Amino acid sequence: MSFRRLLRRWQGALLSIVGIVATVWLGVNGQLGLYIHPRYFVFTMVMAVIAAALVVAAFALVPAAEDEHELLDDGGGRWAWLWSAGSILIIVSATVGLLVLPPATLTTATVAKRDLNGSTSNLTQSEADSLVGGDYSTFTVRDWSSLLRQGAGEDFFADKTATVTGFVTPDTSDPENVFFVARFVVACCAVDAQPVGIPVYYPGWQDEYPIDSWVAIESGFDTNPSIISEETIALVPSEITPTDQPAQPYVY
Amino acid sequence: MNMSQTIAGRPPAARRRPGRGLTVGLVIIGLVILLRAFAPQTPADTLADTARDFVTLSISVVIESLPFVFLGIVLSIMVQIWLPEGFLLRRLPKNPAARRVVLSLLGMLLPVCECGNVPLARGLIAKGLTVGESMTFLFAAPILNPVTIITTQQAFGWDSGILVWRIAGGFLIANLIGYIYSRHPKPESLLTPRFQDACALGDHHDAADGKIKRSAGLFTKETSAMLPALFIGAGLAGLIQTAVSRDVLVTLGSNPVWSVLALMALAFVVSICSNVDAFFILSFGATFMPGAIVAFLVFGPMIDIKMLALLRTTFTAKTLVQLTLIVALCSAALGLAINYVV
Amino acid sequence: MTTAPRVRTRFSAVPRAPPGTIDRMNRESSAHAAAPEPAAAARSVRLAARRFRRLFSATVAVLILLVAGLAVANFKQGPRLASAEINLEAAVARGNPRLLLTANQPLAEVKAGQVTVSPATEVSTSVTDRALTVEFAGILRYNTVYTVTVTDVASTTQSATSTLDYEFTTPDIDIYALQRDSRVGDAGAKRPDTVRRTTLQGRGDGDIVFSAPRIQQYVALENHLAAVTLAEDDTATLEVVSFAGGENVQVPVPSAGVIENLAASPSKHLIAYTFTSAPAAEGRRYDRTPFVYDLTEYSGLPAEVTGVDGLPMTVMDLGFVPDSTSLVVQNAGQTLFLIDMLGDALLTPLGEHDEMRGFVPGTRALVVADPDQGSTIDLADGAVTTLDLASSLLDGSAYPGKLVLLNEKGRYARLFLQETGDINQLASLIAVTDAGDSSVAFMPASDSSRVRDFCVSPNGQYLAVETIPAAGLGDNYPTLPAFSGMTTSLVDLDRGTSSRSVSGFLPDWCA
Repeated sequence: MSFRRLLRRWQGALLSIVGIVATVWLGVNGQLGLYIHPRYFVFTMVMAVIAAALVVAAFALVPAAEDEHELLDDGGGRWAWLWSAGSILIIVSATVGLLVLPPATLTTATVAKRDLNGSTSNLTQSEADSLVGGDYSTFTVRDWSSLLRQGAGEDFFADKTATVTGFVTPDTSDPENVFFVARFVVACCAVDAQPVGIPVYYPGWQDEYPIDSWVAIESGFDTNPSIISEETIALVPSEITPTDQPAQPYVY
Repeated sequence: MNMSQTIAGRPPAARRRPGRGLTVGLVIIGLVILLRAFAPQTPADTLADTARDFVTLSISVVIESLPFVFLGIVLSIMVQIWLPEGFLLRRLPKNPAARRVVLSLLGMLLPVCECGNVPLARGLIAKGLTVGESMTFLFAAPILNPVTIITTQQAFGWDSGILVWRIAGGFLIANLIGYIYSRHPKPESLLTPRFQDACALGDHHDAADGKIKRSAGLFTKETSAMLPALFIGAGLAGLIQTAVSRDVLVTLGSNPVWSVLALMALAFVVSICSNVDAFFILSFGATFMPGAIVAFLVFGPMIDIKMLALLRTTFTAKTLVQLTLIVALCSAALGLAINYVV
Repeated sequence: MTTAPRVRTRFSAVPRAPPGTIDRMNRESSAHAAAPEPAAAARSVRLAARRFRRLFSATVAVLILLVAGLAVANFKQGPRLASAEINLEAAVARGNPRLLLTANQPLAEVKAGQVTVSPATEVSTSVTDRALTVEFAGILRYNTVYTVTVTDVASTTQSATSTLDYEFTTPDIDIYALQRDSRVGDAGAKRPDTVRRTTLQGRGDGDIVFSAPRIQQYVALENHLAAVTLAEDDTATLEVVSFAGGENVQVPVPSAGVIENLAASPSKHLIAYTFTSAPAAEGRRYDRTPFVYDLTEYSGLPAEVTGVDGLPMTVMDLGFVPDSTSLVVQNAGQTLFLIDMLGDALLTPLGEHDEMRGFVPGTRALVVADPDQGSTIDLADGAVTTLDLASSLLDGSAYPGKLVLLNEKGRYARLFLQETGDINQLASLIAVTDAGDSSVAFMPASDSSRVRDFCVSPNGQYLAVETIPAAGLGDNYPTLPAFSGMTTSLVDLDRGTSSRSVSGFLPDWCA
């Protein structure tokens, strides 16, 4: 009985500790960018510290278990163990998910689930128009893919060089010869990340660059030599440089 | 009336030895940090891609929401313990309709989480509010709440009027409920005979304990009530995003009628705190129509499994059924109207 | 009394209630109850209960009707237009512009037959998720209100259909013209030549964008104007003027000489020209050597375009492929080459032809002429197609002159010179012919005026016709001589009328 009450009182504090330690650890290692937008970094760390203070105060000041006045739903004595089991399950899975598993970015599986280069992730026409004539060397994957989607023709791309970094994800229409160098576009949080990408023609890429590995490409555009691929314009690089996953893998 | 003397069997030793609890707490924290430090840092290929994405998405909802949950709890603690009681209640207008309007907006000044809502509503009844008026407060406060408004604005911005209609819908429904139940001939019949509340600090402890101790206690209570629902909700969001096929989501989400019903059902099941439910539903923002999102954001904070369980300690089952019916119909009407017009 | 009595309920503790409160309230309510009769009180409560039940049922009923009505309305309503996007500038400059219509729901397939455009234009459609892309065949007209209506649009989840429509207006286009002024000004010096700019819809000749004592020719770019000016001794200089203000840039030329064949690729900020050294100049001798100058390059030096094996070339004619960095040149041996100015500037031979005649509007097909026939060369794959043109109504009765293709389907405009009663005078006529119809599109207003040159607008909608008045005096410029009082008339090919003309010649379309 008292274990159940103990659990019910302290499950919040335990889950808070798991969450706070995970957050602070990610923040200290600069990996918060994997999960949330940079504009929340400071706020998140501050609240984590305040909550940590409250948790410590709770451990110090609050009695370990309370007496009979505090019971909730006690008429269900048969099912009470179920609630305890559920609480334990939540605590354990939270610990495993947040603390044991290493931090990771979203993978190609999510690219397949969401629309690559769908309309919500690309810039609008007016934003794309304002890009034209800018400094092309600073363009990200998102800028280039938006211009490609807007239908800027081959003549526009003929003299441009793209310098981009992204992860490798296969082109569904021609997986052997064409892959996309892709990034996720995040508006608020990783949970609404939409993938964007530029097609790259490089036959046999699967042998050299595994899926979801990060590469840096500097290359010009050309008509896509692959006939089966759905993309008409692609990067045709002579060399691709593998890189490390950047600290902020998402494009905002 | 020194209530602490009526408590039997309370070990006085617990109050005089904070060191023991502190040690336990610090040891636990230390163990957790060690666990994180020794866990592998680089992603091994042991997990399938889909499973890894499930974990990443769920974690992202948790990490995004946790600071806002803590913020809500801190504000709630400040309001319940550090604010002079009855301060605002003396200044309510006399006209019943105006009183309900002001009570709906009271949530902006007294931001409390769902768990703090019910005891606060009880306290309001004790201080002289009618049952109808406290219902207005109960249903408006989770939505007309600074943290909720901020997170909704951060998640959805100003497009499609989601934020505006969440606020307007919450306000209108709360006032409608208050109006209807103000016409009830015997409001006391709406309440259960015994008030039992899981969340309130036993009132008999109030006078004796210091404010800091009560704050810490309230923190423990609120987190225990809200964090399990947050983690379950985050897991559910990740699961739906990775396990349910995109076709099903798109088919359901782009139909103006089924999208509303589906998200209302989801809102009922997922009892996530209203402060951060915007981050949860954001994962569906691209596939579901805006009316469905508004229906979720209006129905969820008012009626869901956890809320019904909490309210059951205060209101009779028949009252709860009536409330659920009205709130559900209003949310559905709002969602369908938005889908029709926007 | 409109509100229910305040409720005091018993719970385990009420922190602030003073002692005896509950007893007092109980006494009060019982005092209340004691005054009227118990039966009346019970009846009023029952009435109130009934009123409440009615209120509740009525509210629920209204809500149910509202929800049902909205559900039905939603089921019956098809997709709605959320936004529409089209690049209007590109729509009148390049072929096959696209209109992107975004709906609020994912769309089922839309066939081209469901789309009606007014004025009538062929379209092709494609649907991705919520977006419907309508691609227009050809180039759009200037200053026209287009209305696009798509009927029977359904979403993938419901069968209800709706109609989407969208209206847009295409923009105007700038018209440039060169006015050579032989008159003498107040100070006794010749008045300067000017390049003026106006628009199709405007009136009059427009504003001066460049003036110099003697302007030989010019080309217009997006924000610049490049002009060849002549000094008193006929030495040529090449100047680039920026419309944003600032100093004029003088493009360095190797020595004194003649600059001809000035051409531009406006979207790529490139100009090309040929340079011939003057007989007395020192240093290397240039004979119609082609040069290309990149306005965006900081070094500011023009690059010589070399021929096969890097040897110097002599070029009879050159022109840029529209909207690209590729140059087409015809060398002294009448061989045409395609040169991509990027990178290594490789040459692709296109065959030997007498004359290169420009591009079909909206395409990359180069029109070439030979003594017995004309052809088009598709620069994408090098395919040569012989022109099989319909015969014009003036074919037998007038001498044929310059021919300009108006679209890929064989519509063309041709200048004819027809004998009149006066043996010294030939009347100029421009006839437009296509597969079904041939008619005279333009005749100068006065019989004694003659047409010197004409060309077609980038979208094939207008002809710009240079006419010389009978009283025109030659200006004796060494290259591209002209006459005083020349005017350029703009002919609307859809209506066959010419309602606009500007003074001057050499409109930028003809460059």
